[in-house]
Amino acid sequence: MALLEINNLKTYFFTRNGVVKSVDGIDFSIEKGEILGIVGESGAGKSITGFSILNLIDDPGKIVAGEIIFNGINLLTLSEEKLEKIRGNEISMVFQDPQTSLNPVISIGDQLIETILYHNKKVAKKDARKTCLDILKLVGMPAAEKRMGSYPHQLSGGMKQRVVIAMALLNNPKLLIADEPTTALDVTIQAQILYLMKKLSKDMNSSLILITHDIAVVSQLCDKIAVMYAGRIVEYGRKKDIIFNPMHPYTKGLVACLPKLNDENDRLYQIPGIMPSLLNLPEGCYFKNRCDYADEECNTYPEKKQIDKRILFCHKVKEN
Amino acid sequence: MAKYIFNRLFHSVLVMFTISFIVFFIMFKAGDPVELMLPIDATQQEVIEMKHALGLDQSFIIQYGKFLENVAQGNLGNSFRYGQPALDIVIERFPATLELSVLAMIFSIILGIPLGIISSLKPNSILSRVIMFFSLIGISVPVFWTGMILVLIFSVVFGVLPSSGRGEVFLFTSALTWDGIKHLIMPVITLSAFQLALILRLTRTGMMEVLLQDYIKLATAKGVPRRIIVYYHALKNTLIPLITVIGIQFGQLVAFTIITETIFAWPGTGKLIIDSIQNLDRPIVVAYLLCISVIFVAINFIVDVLYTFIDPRVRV
Amino acid sequence: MKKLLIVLAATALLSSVCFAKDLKIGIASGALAMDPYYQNETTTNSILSNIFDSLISFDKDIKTKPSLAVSWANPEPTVWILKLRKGVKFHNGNNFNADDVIFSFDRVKNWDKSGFKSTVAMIESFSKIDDFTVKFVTKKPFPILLRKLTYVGILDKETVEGKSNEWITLNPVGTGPYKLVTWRKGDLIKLTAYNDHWRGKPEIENVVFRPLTNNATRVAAILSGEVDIINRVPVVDVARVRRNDKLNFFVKPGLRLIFLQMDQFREDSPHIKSPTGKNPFLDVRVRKALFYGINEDAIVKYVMKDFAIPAAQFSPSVVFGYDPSIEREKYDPKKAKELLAEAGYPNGFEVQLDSPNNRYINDSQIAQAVAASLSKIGIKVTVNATPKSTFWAENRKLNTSFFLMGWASADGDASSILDAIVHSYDTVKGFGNRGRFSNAEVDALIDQSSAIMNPDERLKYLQKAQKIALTDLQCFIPLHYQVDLYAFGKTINFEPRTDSRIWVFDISTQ
Repeated sequence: MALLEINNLKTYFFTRNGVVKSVDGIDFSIEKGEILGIVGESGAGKSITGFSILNLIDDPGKIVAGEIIFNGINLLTLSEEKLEKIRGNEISMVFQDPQTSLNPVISIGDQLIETILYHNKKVAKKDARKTCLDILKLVGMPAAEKRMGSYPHQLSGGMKQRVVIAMALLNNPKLLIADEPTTALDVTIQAQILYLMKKLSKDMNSSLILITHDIAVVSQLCDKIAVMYAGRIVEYGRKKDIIFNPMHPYTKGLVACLPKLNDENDRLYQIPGIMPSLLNLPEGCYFKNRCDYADEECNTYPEKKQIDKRILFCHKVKEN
Repeated sequence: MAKYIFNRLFHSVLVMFTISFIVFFIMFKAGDPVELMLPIDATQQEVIEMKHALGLDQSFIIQYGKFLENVAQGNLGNSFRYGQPALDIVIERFPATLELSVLAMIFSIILGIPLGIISSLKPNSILSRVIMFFSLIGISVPVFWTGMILVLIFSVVFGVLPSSGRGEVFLFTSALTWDGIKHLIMPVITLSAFQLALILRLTRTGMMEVLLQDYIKLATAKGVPRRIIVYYHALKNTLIPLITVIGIQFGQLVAFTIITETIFAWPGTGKLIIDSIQNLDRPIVVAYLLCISVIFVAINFIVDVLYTFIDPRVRV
Repeated sequence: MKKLLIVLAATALLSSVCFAKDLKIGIASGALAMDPYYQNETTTNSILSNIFDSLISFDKDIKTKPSLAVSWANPEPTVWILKLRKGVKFHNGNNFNADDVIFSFDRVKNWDKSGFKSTVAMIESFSKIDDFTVKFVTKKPFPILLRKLTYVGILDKETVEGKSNEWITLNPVGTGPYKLVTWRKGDLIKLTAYNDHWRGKPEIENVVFRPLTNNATRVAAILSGEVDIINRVPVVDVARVRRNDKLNFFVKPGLRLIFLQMDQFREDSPHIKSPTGKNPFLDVRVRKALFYGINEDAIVKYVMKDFAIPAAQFSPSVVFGYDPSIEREKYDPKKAKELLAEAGYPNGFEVQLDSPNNRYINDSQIAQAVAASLSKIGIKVTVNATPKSTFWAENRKLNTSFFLMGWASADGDASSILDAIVHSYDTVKGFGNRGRFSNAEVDALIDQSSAIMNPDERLKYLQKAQKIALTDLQCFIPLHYQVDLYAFGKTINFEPRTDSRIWVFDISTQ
């Protein structure tokens, strides 16, 4: 049984201007110990997917359909109380912007310790503190002891993100969801953090969902990749399939964006056009207006195709 | 820390000097108190004698100089009207005013913050709307109107609360006796209405803003119970601007006691200062304003120190 | 919890029972000091007159009667021998005798902060004849000495001598029917009965005076029954008080005259715009025109809500010097216009009317009404209403051409207003004569009257002075006498006094 199975998840936002279908019927799953990458442009629905798993959707958003089955239980049927027990415990999240992820008026130590204590009532504060220290060292925080008493504004971006990652790992979660964990960091730190996350997940045998717009990142780290576009998954499969043999025109475009060392072109490849507004989606395939291969067939939304171990939504690719 | 305190003290003394000078000057120019103390047909001789007895026939500089000399000895002069040391009169009346102000502030904090939080959690619920409606009334309705309506309803029509005066005093306060409490209820409500509404609204907007922040979302994602998120994670952040406002508002409270004290015949300094200004009783006006500035300076200092405890980004 | 409630209820009940015999009086202002010589101020005098006795006192209608002096003789015009009451003790048990009288008068005359110096100015000397006889010598024959003596409360020499001013103002020891228990400035004054008073045991055991300066607060207090008596019922609340069947409403004509004074000595008056370039007030016809041109009945009716008595002379009827033959002439705007035209002002003139706005009852409103009246006869009046502190300051500097003022003949004798306001301004008299009215004949009559000891004879002089000054020369424009309005519980027997003082000894309950 998969650790996490998402079936037909739909998360809509009911705004004054209309209904924004941020996530409009996606399916994927992740096994124990696996690293899944969800990749796509801004606005594709990746982060919302991550938030939906832990039901962190605020007004005017609402999860309107689907199942989120974690260890056999549909999280969407759980009460808030029960969900609180899972959050930060069996499933953790790391947010995008470390500058705003930590509470400015509570010390690092307190924010870490409380994560343990709220899930393990019987643990003594002293012991919890020790665990926090250990994890901080594990994530490579220099002078960890001192940092326990520090406040977020005293730490750099990279250090803050390490804290957030440490916080997510404290209770040995089975699943870690990382939403653009390195986007806000220096390029030099990025590699460190990513490598750290991969190592930790392997060491602890926890699964990792890595949400990012950066196809280069997923090409390095992930076991499976899901490509999202305008609220839907357009291609989904193993890394080697997706990266080395992309079939969906969008995926092809994304992969083509990767700069290659032996590239002789002066300009980087860009997929022409922009993603359509989620308030004003075209009839049929959402990508058709930017697609080199589109024709009248694409005026109806493509049906799901399975090619080997890959899922695909495109009229123009034939199952063979 | 010691340097900081010294700095603050120095500034405070400077502030008080400036205030005493300004007040002295204004009162000096405002008119002749002797006119108000003697009957119309007092002879010119009597006027001259009384002016001399009060030291009012000297130039401004000499009068101010004498004042400073006296201040150095802890003497703020005798009230023209009462003939007793001005500082004693002011200090005698201060506990009553402070009692009202402090209780009003406590009341508005104890009610305002929780109500503000409640109305921030579900901003469009009926309860929130009702709370906001009453807070609008609290902000808009003038103090004297509130006071008079309360007196009309509870004293005149229903006869359950005394319409004026301060109750039995025990250990400097009237809050420890039942009689005292009965007398405190309406003045405290009257005085705190505005503060309560203000604190309520500030807490609500503050909380609403804070609850949208990423760190709150992350705390939720960590599985911190909602109760803790609201009352600790969020509230702690909301408190920072709130404390500053409360500190400043305390000054306003003490100022507004003037009206409340007049309506409820509360024997505090508010009433004293109005009468003293009308009667050009300069020593009392100066003594009062100096005491007030001491209080302000102290409050601001306390607020600043409290700040550093709540907001770790600000350190002395 | 139930137990707590019972205890609380019992305490509340007990405390209400304990205060049952306390008479509570809500007054419009508080006392300034407990030193009877500190300031000559109405409320202070009123409260202190319960604690201190004077040699002579006034009855309800300001007639003199014996108090600490039981009899007096006036063997020579300037000599008065007073015999003192025997067996009187101060609140602390000390005996009252002539030494106390001498000490008291020495202090009231010579203490540099005494507010009563002018009251006793005519006393040249005072001496002890024996333990119960004192002799006063006046500078000139002074018919109203006894009236002046009512202002001087007698202090206990042994207690007060050598003490500081601050001590004296907080520790009153008198022979009066009440002793001070508590004085919380601005909050309350509690007095308790002095059972060995020479008038007998007071009926009311404890009385609490509560200064309730805000009008609405004072009215609320009487309506809710928290106080038993209030003075100065605001005119707007009279109807409500009358409707309350637990209360009595009482109107007592007072002593204060509200009048208008005009600049009568300067050609170039600061606030007049006159078409002739001259000061119109110098012409008696103009002054008379003002008198005929002000609709005082309307002022009494609409501004004072009928709570005022239109005046035609200096003093109300209880004051010695009153002339029953004088009646206020009717409002006659036509006649007023004729007089103005005759005087050379057919189209009137412009003038500023100065008035305080926080001193007399409805002072600035009266000024507005006067302005409205006068505009109908062509005189354009701008009202300048200011707080009393500003008003008096400008007034003393004579920076005024036309102003509203009040005067209470508190002595009960017309000489007070004549000396202060009607007499020419010189080194001795006329210090309140800010309009600087001056007439030699009137001055002579006033000066002579002050030395005539025979009351019938004296009355003639006073009345004649008034006739010339007011009826003939219109030295100022009398408007009305204020009345004092009281409200008190139906179970209270209270007869207000003309001098507005509240004597608790004379109050009883049914």
